[in-house]
Amino acid sequence: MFRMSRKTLIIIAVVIAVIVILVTFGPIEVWNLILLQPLLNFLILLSNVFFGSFGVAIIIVTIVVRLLTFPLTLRQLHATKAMSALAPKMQEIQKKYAKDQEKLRKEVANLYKESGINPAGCMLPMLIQFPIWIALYQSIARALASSPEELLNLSQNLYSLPIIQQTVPLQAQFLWLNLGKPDQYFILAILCGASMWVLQKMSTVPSADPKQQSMGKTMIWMMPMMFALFTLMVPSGLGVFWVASNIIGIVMQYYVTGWGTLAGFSFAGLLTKPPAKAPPPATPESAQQLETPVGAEQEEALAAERMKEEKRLEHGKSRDKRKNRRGGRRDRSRKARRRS
Amino acid sequence: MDDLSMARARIKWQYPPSDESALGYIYGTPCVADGVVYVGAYGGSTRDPKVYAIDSENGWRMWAYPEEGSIGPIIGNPAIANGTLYIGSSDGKLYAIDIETGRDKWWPFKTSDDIWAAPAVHGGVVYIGSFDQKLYAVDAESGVELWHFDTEAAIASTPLIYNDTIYVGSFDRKFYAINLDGTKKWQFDEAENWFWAQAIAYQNTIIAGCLDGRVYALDAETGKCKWHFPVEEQVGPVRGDPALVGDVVVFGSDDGKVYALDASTGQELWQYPPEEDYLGPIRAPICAGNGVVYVHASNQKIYALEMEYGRINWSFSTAD
Repeated sequence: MFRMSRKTLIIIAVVIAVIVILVTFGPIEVWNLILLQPLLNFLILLSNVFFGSFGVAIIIVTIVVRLLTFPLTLRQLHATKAMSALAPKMQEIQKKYAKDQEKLRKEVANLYKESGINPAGCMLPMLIQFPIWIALYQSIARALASSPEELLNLSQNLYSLPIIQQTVPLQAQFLWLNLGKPDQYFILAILCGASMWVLQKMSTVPSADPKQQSMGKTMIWMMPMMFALFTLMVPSGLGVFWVASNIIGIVMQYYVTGWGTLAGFSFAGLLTKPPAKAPPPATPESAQQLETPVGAEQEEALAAERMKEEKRLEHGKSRDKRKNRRGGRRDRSRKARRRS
Repeated sequence: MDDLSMARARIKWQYPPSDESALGYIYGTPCVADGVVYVGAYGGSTRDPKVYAIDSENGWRMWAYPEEGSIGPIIGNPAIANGTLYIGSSDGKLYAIDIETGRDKWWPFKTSDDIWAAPAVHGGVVYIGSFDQKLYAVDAESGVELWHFDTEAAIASTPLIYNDTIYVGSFDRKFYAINLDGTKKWQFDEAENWFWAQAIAYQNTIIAGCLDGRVYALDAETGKCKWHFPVEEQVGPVRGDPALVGDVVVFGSDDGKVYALDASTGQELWQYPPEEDYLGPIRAPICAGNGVVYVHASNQKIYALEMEYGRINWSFSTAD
């Protein structure tokens, strides 16, 4: 008889409930009711509490949402770290079973099972957080209503609390920024790009695969540049949200993995030529192996191989010596016999 | 729309001409006095916010204020009295401009937040609401503040002056009656959303549209609600100013329909378009004259409706 675990039953029940609600009320209505309106009104409430400063409210809401989703973020970070630790073994398996896809799949599944890692552990927390971030982004954009149409739209999403009504329309000025307009001084764009770069650098785990390495390097620069560009085009309230979110992300990342690859980074390295590579060692085969980036286990194996080779060569040299000695003795005795 | 209707809807002129860049959004209703059209522009990427005076015969620009530079984006209508144009701006200032010369009559009156409302002028005093939650009374000649009245949220609606009382709604969901000395007469607080449209007066009744999708009829002396429409449900938010034509009040709604009600009972006389059709949100004020109601809907069309039964005379598209 087919039996389901309690966890599976709960998941099925939740999915069915969500589908029923969506069909009854419509997805947009549900989205507004459950995510958008609460976040929007919370933002406005915080603005009132913090002396009418919408900029401070954005930062605080970002911190609150990040803290609430921290368990999910932590799980995602740990899962990513564990997946990356498996990379060398994964590469081994891929090389070994490159021609047998069925076997490859089985071995990969076994590897995950043995190491206790669930590949979905990386994706699931991100998927759950994604709608929250979208809702927060929309809330900030809507709260910054600067035209009559936007303000009219905002009026239909506010709770009937006097404190909320009194706060709208929001004060757009925050530090040097007009939160309803892009930052004309580019400072926010630079902050956004730089903070995102730092976060990317910290969270990127080196890969054994040269292709992935190359892709990773491109992403580290491309994403920050893209977001810096977006920041120039959207209301600066959204830029404040991105910068705040990146900084909190940096703190969380440091807590889990430390500085990561950022630790070995130096700005001087960007400006100077990299030092010339050391000349290859005497034995061509071992030199080729050393130049190829490998995981720790493979390095050990290579080192063992090298030692064996050296021993063999050494033995060979000794053998040659002995051969020469024997050959030398034979020659000398032949010479002696001829003389006599 | 037949050829006869088309003949009624020809363009006389347009400003700016086709070969010039547009003024940007125009939210306020233009004001016409002595053959001159006065309008405030929100501005945009190609033009700064300014106030324009345009000859109504030929569409030529007579002046623009300010001549150099710009003021904050303009959303409200201008008001004209005694040769002076008064207009509020999103920079929080009330401007008084001489309509002959296009120059400042007095130093702009500063409030603490944006002004989106249109001013009302009565008895030498300019009344204007601001986002700083105050209704100001400013001397029309000197620009000096006489008093201000505090509400609990922003004011975006134009005050109505009727029987020496100022009637204005606010974003605090309340509708106020204020004496000319700045003291409160009464307040109505049963609405469920903001008041934005300007109210109208009919036989000692103040009729005000609200963003909660209702139109309220309040006793001018006591503030008691005489009727509201609809009775049970709501139509869409009522953002545009209604019009009074005889004993009929006509208003547009965000649900894309125009409604005509008996002003004394609130009973619906007709709606356009009928049944399930709709025009797109109607946020502009309703205009009426000579038995015709003119409606500008968000679908970029102007409709002329015959007053008695709400049948369409013609429609004209403002899109290119």
